[in-house]
Amino acid sequence: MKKKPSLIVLILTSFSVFFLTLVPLYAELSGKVVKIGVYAPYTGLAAQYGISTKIALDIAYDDIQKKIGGIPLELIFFDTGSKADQAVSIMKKFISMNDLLMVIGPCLSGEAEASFPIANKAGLPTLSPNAAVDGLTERNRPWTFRLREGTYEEAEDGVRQFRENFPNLRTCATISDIKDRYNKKNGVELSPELLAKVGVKILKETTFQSGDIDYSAQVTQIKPLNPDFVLISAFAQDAANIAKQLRKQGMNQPIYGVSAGILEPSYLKLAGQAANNTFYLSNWGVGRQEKPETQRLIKEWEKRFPSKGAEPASWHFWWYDALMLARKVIEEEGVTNLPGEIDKDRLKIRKGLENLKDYQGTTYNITITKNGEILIPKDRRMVIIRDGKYHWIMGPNNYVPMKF
Amino acid sequence: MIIQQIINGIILGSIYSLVGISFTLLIGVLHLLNFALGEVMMIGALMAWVILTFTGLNIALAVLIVIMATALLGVLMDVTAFKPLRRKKEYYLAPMISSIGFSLIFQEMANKYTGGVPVSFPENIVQGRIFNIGNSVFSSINVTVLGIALAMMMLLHYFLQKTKTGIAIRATSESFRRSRLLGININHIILIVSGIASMLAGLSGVLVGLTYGAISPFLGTIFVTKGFVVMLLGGFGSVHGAMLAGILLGLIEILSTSFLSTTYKDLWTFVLVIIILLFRPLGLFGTLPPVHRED
Amino acid sequence: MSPYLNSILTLAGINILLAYSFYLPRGVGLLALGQAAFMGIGAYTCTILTVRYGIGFIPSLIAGGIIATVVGIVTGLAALRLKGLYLAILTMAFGEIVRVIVANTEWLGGVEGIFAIPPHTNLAAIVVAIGILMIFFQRTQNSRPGRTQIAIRDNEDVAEAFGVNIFREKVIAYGMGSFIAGVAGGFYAHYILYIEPGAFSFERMVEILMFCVFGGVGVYWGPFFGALTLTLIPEIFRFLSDWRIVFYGAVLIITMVLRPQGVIDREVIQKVQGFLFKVFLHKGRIGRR
Repeated sequence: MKKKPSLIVLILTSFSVFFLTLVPLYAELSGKVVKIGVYAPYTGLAAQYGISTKIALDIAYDDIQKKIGGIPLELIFFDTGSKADQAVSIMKKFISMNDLLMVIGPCLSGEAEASFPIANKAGLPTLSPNAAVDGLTERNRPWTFRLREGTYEEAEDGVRQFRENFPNLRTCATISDIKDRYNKKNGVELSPELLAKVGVKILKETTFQSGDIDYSAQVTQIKPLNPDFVLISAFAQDAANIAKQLRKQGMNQPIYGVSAGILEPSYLKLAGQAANNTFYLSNWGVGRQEKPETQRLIKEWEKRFPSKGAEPASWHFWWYDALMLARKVIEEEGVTNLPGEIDKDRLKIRKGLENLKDYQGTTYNITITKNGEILIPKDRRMVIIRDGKYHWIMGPNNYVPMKF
Repeated sequence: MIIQQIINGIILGSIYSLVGISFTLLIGVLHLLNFALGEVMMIGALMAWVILTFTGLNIALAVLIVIMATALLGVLMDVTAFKPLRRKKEYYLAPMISSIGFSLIFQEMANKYTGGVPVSFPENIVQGRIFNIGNSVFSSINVTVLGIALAMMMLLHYFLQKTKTGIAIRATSESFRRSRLLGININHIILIVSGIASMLAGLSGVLVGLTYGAISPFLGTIFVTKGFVVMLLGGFGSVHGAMLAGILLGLIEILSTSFLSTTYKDLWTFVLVIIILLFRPLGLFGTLPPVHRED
Repeated sequence: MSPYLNSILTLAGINILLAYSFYLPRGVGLLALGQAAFMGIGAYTCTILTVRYGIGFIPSLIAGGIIATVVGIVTGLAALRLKGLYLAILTMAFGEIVRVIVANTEWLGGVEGIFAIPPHTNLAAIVVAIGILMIFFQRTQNSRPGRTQIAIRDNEDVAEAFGVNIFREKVIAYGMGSFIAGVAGGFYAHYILYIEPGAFSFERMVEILMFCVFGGVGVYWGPFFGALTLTLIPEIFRFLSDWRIVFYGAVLIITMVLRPQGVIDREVIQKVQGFLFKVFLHKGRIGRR
């Protein structure tokens, strides 16, 4: 019997080919092109965030005519698959590419947590528009930055405005997602503590896990206590379901939304009527959403999103801002992009980011603090949903509808 | 309050039952653990969403289409990936891995299609009439969902007990070889069972969409675990066991959340699983533990 | 070596160790689906020792493995009387329980996990660990312990009739598997530099299962090949961008149809050995019938 060319030889050859294909991936590239790395979850559990923010980024890319300083800009995208392990590999890959000026990303706190120390050690400026975990950039100075403030400062700002605008709400019950760290932190730690400081009595705290589908138990627990308002800390879809359940069981108290979920447009979409009387601290500065420029961005985003009927959240546009201010910093700090100058260039970019003051972002103005975060924006206000529409809260009972 | 919770538990439980039945059918008759049934559920829900949102057909028609489509999907999965493995008996882990492969593919395609964003059925479909019984609040949708689930279970019961095909299915679950000797066309039975299991999963997906709102590409992952637990609790291969176990699980989940700390809800479920395994592994109605097929 | 290649191989190495943590119990016929939890126990133990008590990396690593083993043996004593699918589900439930408990224990970091872990993991240490394991497999497979394991896996009752203490062998194999998983967890923690309960969920276990079934659990090269390949494929196929995962799923399905026993089995090893003999020792007749 003639022996067939062995399966093993095939396996071994394929194996060697696999290894060899890894080689070109980190060979040095030169040329008249400016490169920025981007990483975010485009597949996996958090794919919606990656996909949404990529659209905002792509709009910025087109708006700057795909160039920085007259030279073509190349954005190098990598997918983290919503996993911290991959974020680490990707960051190492970025570093070994040797010619990236900076990196934008990631989206998720876990990914940032794992990859930022590596970026910092290698001196690669990395800017995450929205990673929320406390102290992230503080721990990874001086090369990492983000376009938001710490969770505590954000919560503090919210509660302060709450107290000003709702002097009569004195008792509350909470429903918090404890599976996600940001939701848990806001709902279980920060909000109760800060609310207690302004004289609110927490009657009951209930919890759930994102991905649960039934919330009737939690609502049934808080209903008899008759709180003045209900605090929800959850993702948009869970928050919407909870709101619906609350209304269904006859609880029509106002809802105070903390954490990122309720400020997403999908909350109103999914909750419909149940969303009425929900208030939260918006990411928008007053009047910014109504500007024609912003409206253009919103419409463009909706056009490009895969499924029809979705709306962008405020923080998606931080990714737009990220590329825009990356361009500004690169152009204004004298970055040369010459092959031997990469370290000097990165240092210039870092300094540019450190010194960023009052940059006009889409949602608010951006000033970077010494911790690599932003100063609390002064014109951010609370928003309340009435009659299915958003209203600015300018003062107690002073609600101004958003016009667009 | 407790009556409300009990009824909520039964509604949730009836959906768990349907999911459990789909798993237990495949394990009992085909000795196959198909992880992708969770994703079939998700596809059923998504398909219904697409139909309801973009074509305006009514819900009954949408359900019909979903049932047929998911049944077909189940058959396709079996023919392409599971059937070739049936001949090679010892490798019972291989079909599991294939089913994971299908899971990944379905999830990512759903991610692409929806952009990863959760969607929900149009408001007018889901907004039932609210009515009260004493202190408890219900929606007419709840009644419909419960009705469909129970009707399905009764249909299945009748099918398996009284019709020729149903009896043939039960015979096949005991032994392929002996059933063949009795003149049963095993290949047909396999196709029918695959179709029914997937169809039940797809239907549960629609029911979840009706009762609970948001549908995401990752809906399936949660239900796979529930399906396992129901299957175990009811006894592998026992359809009646799954029916009862599903409702029990729903009740346990809702009642434990109401009266005990909400934090540890999942914990109780798994502790229950362990207790069952250590003290009564056959579950409520299981007869024989699943062994590798000898025929 | 480029840091990128280094990091990929490190991750592959960790995955190989994890694959072996499943392979060992499987060798006596056990379907241990809780190995991700042991990985977690090892990871958290090792991390807390290095980060909070300043203990050296290698001792902490071993301590992590030991704690995982202890938990493994204790639970094994209760669980290992079950068979097949029942054991599988029990170990799976156990894994989830551990995860929920850790997620709700503030001292362990809760849902937020522990960050700022020092990067102690290096490729050399992992290679050494894998090397030790593989030498161990090579030497035992033809010896008495190895054959005993195969006997138990193939037919317990017969093995017992021949005087094998089945329960003891199972506990030993399960304990060893837990140890390896715990050590892999320690390596993982000091590579990713951040751990949280979600990293040790059933999703991780499914990955481990895939490495083994894809690579083959018949011979010890199987998990090695499976873990290495399945770690590399998503990296190599990054250019497919968001179709990567779909591609990966298709690879799994197709491989299972073509080779349900896994890519590497006894036959393949024999052919490779024959081939290598021929090439390096010029013994032309090896392998011919």
